[in-house]
Amino acid sequence: MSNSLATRLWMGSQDASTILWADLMILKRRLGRYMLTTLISPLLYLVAFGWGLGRGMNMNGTTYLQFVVPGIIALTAMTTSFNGAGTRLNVDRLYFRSFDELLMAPTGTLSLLIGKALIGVVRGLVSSSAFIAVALLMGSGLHLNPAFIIALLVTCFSFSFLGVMAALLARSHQDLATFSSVILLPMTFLGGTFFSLDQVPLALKVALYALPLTHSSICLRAAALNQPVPESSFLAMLLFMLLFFLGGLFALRRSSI
Amino acid sequence: MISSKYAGPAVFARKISKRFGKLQVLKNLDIKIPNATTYCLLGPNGSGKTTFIRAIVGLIGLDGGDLRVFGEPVKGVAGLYSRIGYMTQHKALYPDLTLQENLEFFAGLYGIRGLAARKRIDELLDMVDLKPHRGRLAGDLSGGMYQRLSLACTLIHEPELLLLDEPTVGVDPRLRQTFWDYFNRLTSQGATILITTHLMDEAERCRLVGYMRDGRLEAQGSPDELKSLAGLKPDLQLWMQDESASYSAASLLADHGFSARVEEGAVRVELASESQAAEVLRLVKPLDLRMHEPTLSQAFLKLGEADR
Repeated sequence: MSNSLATRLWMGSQDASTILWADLMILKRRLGRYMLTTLISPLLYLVAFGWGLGRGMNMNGTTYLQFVVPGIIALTAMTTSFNGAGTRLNVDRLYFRSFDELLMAPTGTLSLLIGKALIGVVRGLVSSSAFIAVALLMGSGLHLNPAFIIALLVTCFSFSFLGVMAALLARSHQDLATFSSVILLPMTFLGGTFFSLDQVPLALKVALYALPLTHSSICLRAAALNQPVPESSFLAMLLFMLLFFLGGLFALRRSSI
Repeated sequence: MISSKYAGPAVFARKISKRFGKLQVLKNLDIKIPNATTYCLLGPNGSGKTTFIRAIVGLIGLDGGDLRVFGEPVKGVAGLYSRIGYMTQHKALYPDLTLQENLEFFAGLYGIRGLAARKRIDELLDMVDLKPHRGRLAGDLSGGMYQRLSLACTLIHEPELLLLDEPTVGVDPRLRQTFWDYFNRLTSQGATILITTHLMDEAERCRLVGYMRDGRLEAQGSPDELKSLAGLKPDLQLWMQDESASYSAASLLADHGFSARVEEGAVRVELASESQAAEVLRLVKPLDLRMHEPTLSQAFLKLGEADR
């Protein structure tokens, strides 16, 4: 029984790695262009908010730069993971129709979901790492500890699963663009990235705590500042990850008969 | 080595129907595709050929009817994917991957890895005549080369049921012959090939041909059976010394029960079978002659006329 489970797990991981491999090869060929486009927004945020607007500001005993950098890392991980998994899948599914080829292969749904989500995770990690390197060079004083890395990984997985789910449910490229504009863009600014949620009115605070990025920002910030990571936020992150994973699984099962 | 494990029809459809919005694409379609055969599905655009194929692989759900693949209801077709290969009209390959990488990817999807994958890829690149281009990006290939790579990717796992939607579009005649030799080899090993095409000479190569029209199967049989169903017969064209000799010959043949007429200076005689040619030549002595076999194209034109 355990042998057969181990075989299935091994085969499933091989299938997922095959799916990831193709996307990785593509990323490798376009890495330069990818890095350039993916780093522009976070660097602009860093310059505008970290150096410009926030210069001299103090946030609960830390500089604004130290406060804002983890938030920008969270939003970079969110957007690149979501787009890395979702946008590519949406194009593959609706334009190239190459997703049909995957549906027709003897690949398990779980392997397919994980394989497709992993490329979002890789893209999220690559972009976040590049941004972290820049931020460290600029003296942001980040602490890269296991808690930070785990929080970053969970963020990338969460938004990759969300990207897969959105890409599979979207009926057109426009649908996915609308999802990004209506859900991701507001979250970029409101998810505890650029300002502390302590400063907002209670009603708004409740709404903002319902956003997954809020908890990513809180956890990444606490870890980066070498403070204890709030358990409730970390649990919320795991819950969102599970929710988006199940949503992706549901969307995938709906795609195939 | 392909060898089908199922003795019944590879594909069996009974009264299947599919509607897209207001458009009824499949209308109680009945089709039986025997195992280890080449079956050609012909029909005008919009007749439902591609919809039928996509239903076989489970890419679209049906509204009604019974569709079975190797005896399994199509709902369970996912369990048969390792036995099915589907080449769409525009198979989706990764344009940013090389030919070799595309093939490696498809091999990996079907669990073929390592040495077995390398051997199979070499064999297929040879077959589709793309070995010297294995390092080129798929996105840089011409239409015909892309089509050949698509076929190679479809064949990577040696499927028992091969669904080919217009596979030889853009492929030159020499290579088309290679493809057909390969297809024949596959059927002799037990594979079933369902092919859609607009090329009648390709349909003539298939053991069975089905003519779809308006979501239904209008006719099915071997190419010869379909020609005979359409009432087409071979005819003999005879060139006599001059026009008056042509008219005399036509009249003589008519007296002996042949349907003969003078057309563009030559006598055309309809034959019930090729063996009647000897009897015609006993009655008249032409300067030259030519036998015309009916084509599948004429058969379908005739069948189409009958429908209208």
